[in-house]
Amino acid sequence: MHTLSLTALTKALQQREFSSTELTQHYLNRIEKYQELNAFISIDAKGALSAAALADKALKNAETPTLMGIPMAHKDIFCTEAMPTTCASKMLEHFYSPYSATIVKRFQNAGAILVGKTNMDEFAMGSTNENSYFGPVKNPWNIECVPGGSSGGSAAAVAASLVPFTTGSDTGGSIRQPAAFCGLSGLKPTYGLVSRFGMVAYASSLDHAGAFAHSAEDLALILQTMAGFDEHDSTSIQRPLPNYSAALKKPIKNLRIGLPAGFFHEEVDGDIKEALHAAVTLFEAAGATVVPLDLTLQPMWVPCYYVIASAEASSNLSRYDGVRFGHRARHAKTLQELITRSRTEGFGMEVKRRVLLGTHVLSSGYFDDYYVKAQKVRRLIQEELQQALSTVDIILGPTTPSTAYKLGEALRYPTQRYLADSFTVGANLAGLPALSIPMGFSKGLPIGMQMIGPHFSEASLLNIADYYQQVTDWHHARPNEL
Amino acid sequence: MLTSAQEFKKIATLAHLEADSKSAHQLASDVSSIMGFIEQLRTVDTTAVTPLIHPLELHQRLRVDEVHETSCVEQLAAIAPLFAEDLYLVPKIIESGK
Repeated sequence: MHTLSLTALTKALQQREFSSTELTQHYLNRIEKYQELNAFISIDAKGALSAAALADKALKNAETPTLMGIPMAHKDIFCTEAMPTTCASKMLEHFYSPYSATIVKRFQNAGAILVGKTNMDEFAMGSTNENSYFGPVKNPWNIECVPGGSSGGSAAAVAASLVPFTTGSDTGGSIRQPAAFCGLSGLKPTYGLVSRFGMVAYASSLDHAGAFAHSAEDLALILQTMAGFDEHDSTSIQRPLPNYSAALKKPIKNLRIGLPAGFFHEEVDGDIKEALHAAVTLFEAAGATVVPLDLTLQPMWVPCYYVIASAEASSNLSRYDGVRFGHRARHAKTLQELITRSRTEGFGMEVKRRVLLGTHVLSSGYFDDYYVKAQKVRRLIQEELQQALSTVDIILGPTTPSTAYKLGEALRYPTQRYLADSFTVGANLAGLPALSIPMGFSKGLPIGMQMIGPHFSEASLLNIADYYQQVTDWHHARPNEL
Repeated sequence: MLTSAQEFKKIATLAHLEADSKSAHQLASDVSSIMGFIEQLRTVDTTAVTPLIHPLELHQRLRVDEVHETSCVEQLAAIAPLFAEDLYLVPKIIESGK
């Protein structure tokens, strides 16, 4: 059953080829079998099986939502009433949210079965999943390698077929980069398209909710359930939703593809450049035109991102004070000592690093020089990307400069690894939709291709990705030993 | 740049964090290294550019001023580390004056 795509599973359940209970139990068995990957922080087998029993009753009726009875998992950044929400931090180790996130409710209302919460970098800060209080996640393609991050558990869980799909969050590449490292399709939608109510905040002007699956076709089904206006999220956009699945299988003959020169610099792996050129050739054979782009501000993406993300993180994480919820230091004698010790004990090194950086750039005397300056550069970056997207339909490139690196490698050079986000953060700064799909392998590890489109162009992006997946097999590849 | 231990301490105090000397040295060095990288932003001419605050340039949506929620004290009390009589308990703030 786990070899079937999400789309095939929905059909099999609707046609009663097997039950949701059988399917859920099958995935629960796999989760137990592959515990070594450390993809999950918590599992709710009992809750999942009782929800599956209800789904089986519902599936006897003719009309049920598409995802009825499908097992899935949420990144542990989404609040759930029924399960703990830790954000992979000691700070929230025992935290139960009094409410569920909007997207948690949407999947629940659609009949999807929540089997567990996935591991991640603490508070979504990192690109290796090694910054988790619950230990690193291993890449199912090579367990000596990282799965990417911060949504590393969500990516590893789908790559190892422990669930057919998962949710994730993406502040600077945290869905697309692990999707690339684990050979998956991962979507970061337009800012405001998917509600973030109940998603623990890291950097509010950059945070996006999205998802992982094997194919663009599967992502279309998931996005249909996730997207849409939410009155509880003040950044949510009120606009009609297209039918994402109906937008697939459309011709791409007049597609104009922008290729930025900066995505092919000397530090990008040769195999990755070759894979991308092969993909471009396929698109050209289908009638697409390639337009070279020169994004002169691309070298500023990462510095701009780190100022804004860290500043917003230092503000958002100020709520963790040991008073209202979360970790509380013992035996503090003063309120000041209580707050400082609770935070010092509760946060890991990467979170401290970013909170300190954010506090520094927001502090008196530096605010205009760094924070306001970065906001101005952000406008220029957005204008440059929008200008480029007025001449092409998509911006295409590798998702990452390299494939997955070995566990421990990034921890030795924590700040250098920030450059791993150098192709992905632009879409977050500009709020543009972007996805990563598999486009080959290098030394047994998957390579990802990133597509960035204009605001609210998800239907078109998914159609282009789906076209590529109709003429290639990379998204069908699975790790050998799983 | 966080060139001095004193400056690092000031920022750590503002962030309500503390560090032993070894990790303080590591964190200060990391933050300084990232700041060096961030300095590149100065090379971009931003004269007359308005800061971008919201990616879609939208303003905060306001709702009608009506009460929708009832008291959720019980739920909040359940997740608070120390809570009694509708109050969060913290160490004494005001000294007795003795």
